[in-house]
Amino acid sequence: MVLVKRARDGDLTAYDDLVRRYQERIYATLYHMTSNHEDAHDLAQEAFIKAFQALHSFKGGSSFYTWVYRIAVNKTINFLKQRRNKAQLSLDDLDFNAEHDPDLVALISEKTPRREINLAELQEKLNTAMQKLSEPHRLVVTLHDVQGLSHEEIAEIMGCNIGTVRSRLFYARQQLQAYLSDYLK
Amino acid sequence: MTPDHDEFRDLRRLLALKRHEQPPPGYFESFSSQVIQRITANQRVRQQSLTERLFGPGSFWLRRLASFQSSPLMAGTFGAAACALLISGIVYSERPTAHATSNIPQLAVTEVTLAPAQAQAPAPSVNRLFFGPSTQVAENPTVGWVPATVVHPDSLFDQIKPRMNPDFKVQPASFQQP
Repeated sequence: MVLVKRARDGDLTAYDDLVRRYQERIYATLYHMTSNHEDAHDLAQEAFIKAFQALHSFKGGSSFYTWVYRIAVNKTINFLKQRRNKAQLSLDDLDFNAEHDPDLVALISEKTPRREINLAELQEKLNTAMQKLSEPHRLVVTLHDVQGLSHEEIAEIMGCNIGTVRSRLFYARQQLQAYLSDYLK
Repeated sequence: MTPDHDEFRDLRRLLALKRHEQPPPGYFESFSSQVIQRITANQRVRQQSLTERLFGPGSFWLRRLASFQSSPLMAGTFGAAACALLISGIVYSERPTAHATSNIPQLAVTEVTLAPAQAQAPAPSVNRLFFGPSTQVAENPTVGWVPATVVHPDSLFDQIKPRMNPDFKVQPASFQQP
């Protein structure tokens, strides 16, 4: 809160510290929502700029993290509504650890033992399936299953109750499972 | 583990792949500085746009100028109005109001007159005729013409005089012919 107060008084060094603290999580969320690096970059930057301009309206009722998240998510949902049916994938590269991820190793060995599965291909299919979900459902899956946020945190970010979060999550998983059935059998 | 978790276990394993999607190396090192640069640039643009709105292209003054060029009548009217405003300003500045006069401290009115010698003419009566009863006339029987000083009792000069030198005395100047 000290950094937030200083940033509210116009201290850009303090705001720089705040951006550094949350940039990776915000970027990741927006990237998983858009499946496009350039869009995620622009949206994340604009979200932080908008947050700085609106800092005087931040009363401290929620954490700064949740507040910035909400700004970024609302901006992204508006962007995606305008971009509808014009989605273009621009995926980030998989890091070196992907090949050794125990979950992925288990999945590939159990479900696709005879198929030569390419991780890059799997990544593209997964992102395409994610883009088929509606924005609220995609957001719930991203925040919970990819980023590991709790139902309570997601409810606060999305401005809905926990029951809605749970039902959206269930529906989104069902949809994804159907889209990716070839890779999950 | 709940049935919900079992049902979607493979899907969640697959979604783990997304955690390995990473932007180019070093991407986050310059991210925050870019945000700060854009904030600073926005602030600068906002300040400039205010100045431009007042004086830049398409500003109020330039629009007026353009309208004057297209309509000489409008330009003439504006010029006449400006002149009238200027003249009225000058006239009013030279004629202070009664209220303003009452606030101004009365200045000493010092006039030098040529008072005739007592033997030739009744100087006090003449001076009273011109300057009123409060006028004091310096009398010097030795000279024909002596400077007379009109002393106003409430003059600023009288207020300052004791502070400057309590023993200050006015010595009349002599215009005696050698």
